[in-house]
Amino acid sequence: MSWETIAVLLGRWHEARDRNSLRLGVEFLERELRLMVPPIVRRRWPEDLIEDALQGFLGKLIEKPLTTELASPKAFFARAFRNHCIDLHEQRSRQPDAKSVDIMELDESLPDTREGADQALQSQERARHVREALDGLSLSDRVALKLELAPQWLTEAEMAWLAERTGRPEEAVRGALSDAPDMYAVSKIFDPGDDAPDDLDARRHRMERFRRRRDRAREKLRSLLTEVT
Amino acid sequence: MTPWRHAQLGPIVGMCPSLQPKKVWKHFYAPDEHWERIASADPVPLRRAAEDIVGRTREEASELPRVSPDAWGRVRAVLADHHEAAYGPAYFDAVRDPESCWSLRMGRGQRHVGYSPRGVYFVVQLDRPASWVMTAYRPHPPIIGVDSSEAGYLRAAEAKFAKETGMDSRDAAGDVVARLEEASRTAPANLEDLWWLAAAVGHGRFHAEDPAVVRSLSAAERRLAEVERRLADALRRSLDWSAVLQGIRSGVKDVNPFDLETALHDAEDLLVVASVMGAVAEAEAFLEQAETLLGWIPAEWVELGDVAARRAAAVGGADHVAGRLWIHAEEAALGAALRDGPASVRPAARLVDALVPAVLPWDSILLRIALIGAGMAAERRACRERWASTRAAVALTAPKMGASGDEQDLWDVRLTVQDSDREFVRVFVVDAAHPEGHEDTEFSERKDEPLWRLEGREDRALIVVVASDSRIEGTTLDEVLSEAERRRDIIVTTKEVSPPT
Repeated sequence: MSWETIAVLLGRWHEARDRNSLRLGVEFLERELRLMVPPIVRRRWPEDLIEDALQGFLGKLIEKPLTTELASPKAFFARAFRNHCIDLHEQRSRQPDAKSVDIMELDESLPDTREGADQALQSQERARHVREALDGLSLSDRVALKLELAPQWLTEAEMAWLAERTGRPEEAVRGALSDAPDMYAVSKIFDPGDDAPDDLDARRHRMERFRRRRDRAREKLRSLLTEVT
Repeated sequence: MTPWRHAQLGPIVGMCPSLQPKKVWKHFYAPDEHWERIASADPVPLRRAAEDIVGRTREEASELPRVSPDAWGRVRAVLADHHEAAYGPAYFDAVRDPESCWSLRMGRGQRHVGYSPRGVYFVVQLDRPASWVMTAYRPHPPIIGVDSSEAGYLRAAEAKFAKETGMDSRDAAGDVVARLEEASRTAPANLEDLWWLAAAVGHGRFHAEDPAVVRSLSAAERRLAEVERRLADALRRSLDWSAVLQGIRSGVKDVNPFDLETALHDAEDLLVVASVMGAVAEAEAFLEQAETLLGWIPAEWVELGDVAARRAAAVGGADHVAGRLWIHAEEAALGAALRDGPASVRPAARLVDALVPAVLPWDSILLRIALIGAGMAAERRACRERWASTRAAVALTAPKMGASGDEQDLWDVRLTVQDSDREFVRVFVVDAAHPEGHEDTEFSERKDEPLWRLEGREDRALIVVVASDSRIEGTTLDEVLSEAERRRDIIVTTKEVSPPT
């Protein structure tokens, strides 16, 4: 499955009611959309809001065919889902029991200009620089950065390093990561320690230590980014 | 609008049609931008037509709300008319004004910015065959209930221009001194004056070590200390946090990072002023909400991280609430870049079964049976009542002594049929291995044996019972169903069976 086949699968459903295609498409989309929810949003927004947003968004795709031809399906769905979540969150702040919001056809606000293509190229180039700079960091720095910002993107080597550091099996580390409700839990994965969770001073101290560790890693990344550019 | 030729940039046209609706709604209709002072028409009566279609007022929704496709078609036409009639000519006058100030160097994304003496700030996207206006608005401090004067719009546009074009300027201290001197020349008489004084002091404090700034900063600090408490309290209460947060929200939702960058600059100013005025709790609450919204920055906006890193360094880094805003933006852009490739841990798709039930081998059979039931005649209805006691039930096989784990996970399907008429009953089981149906009409001859056995929790089957008062012809399920379609004295009942959850 890839992003390129999504429109085809949804099209088969809307034209020929092919349920197999729809299942394949919805399963792929659901996994990808779940990955698109930023870790900070997962930690701070109510879990049921994201679930409602996912259900409402996928339900709408099943109900109505897309009206626009998708030049870049991944970017299209990423933006549509992001906006759907933000709108639902905003609506919930006014109306706490809101379950979904209407999805209007996405307005492709910018014409397909030369600038758009240039900007896409610049972004790709910049993303390549970031990846190169990341490769230049030590394993521990990479893990410190990714733990908060992209835990599901920890590589095998990074996960193995984390497991060895904490003396736990990799599976246990993975499980703890996916269950971590907040930064405190994330910091415990990086540095288990033996401080009691209800000791507020120890908790503050631990968070501060983890923040400083992460800041050091970010500083190193910044200087590497300056070098590669 | 006729294209206008800029001496260096070449031909420039107005906004493209796809941008016009949201800009008309967001800026031309904005009560605090007061376009009626410079446009040929008053936006107030015009916007009512659009509000009627949308179902929300501009006051309730600062961004053009989502509407049904039908309403969208109508409101788009109204907004395009208002662009042509009033907003477009007004901002294009600003672009063409020989007194307008333009950026000397092209900014990121191949754009130039400028502002007119009437306080209209505009952004032009360089393009071929003609460059085009990307946005045009009248900047003003985010203070609730304050109508900017014309001089206020100009001052805000100048400040915005200086900040956005001079971000990398080596003479940042010179700009800071100029703002400090201008803001502290006279005692602030109203909220808007106090805003500019607080902003100048707040930005001046980032240069407090610079000898060139010290004297004017001290003078401005003294001026600020003399401000009446009543006025200071009023400004603290009137800072429009929700408008600036809404700017970040809509910036994050946009197709490119330009609006978000603008919103972050506005948020920076608000946080700097709030910090000077002592609105610490409000600033922290704002920052927490902004940080969560910034988490949605997409991977394509990775270059926003560079701008954010520079601004964070310029406004106190982690030690200042405005610096922390930019650090959050920088981290969000970095996080998006980190998450751009394939993930090593992929989440489960938990909703797919509820949204799209699995395609079962008997879907087409069920559809066919439903059609038989739909044309139910009186004879068939009577027959159905007679066979109402036909039941399929699922029960767990009794655990056997010494049985292995696999044997423990077997589920018996038992069927109850009226004994007296069983010769006119045909029973079929459909499952993944028998999509055409397996007949087991003789099941009841086998004492104590179940009709079927499900193996494991995922196993499922469809039991089809075809019954009549007379013999039912056909050897396969397909033939039997064809018979049922022809005759009116046959009823077909079904039961989908699976282990209980």
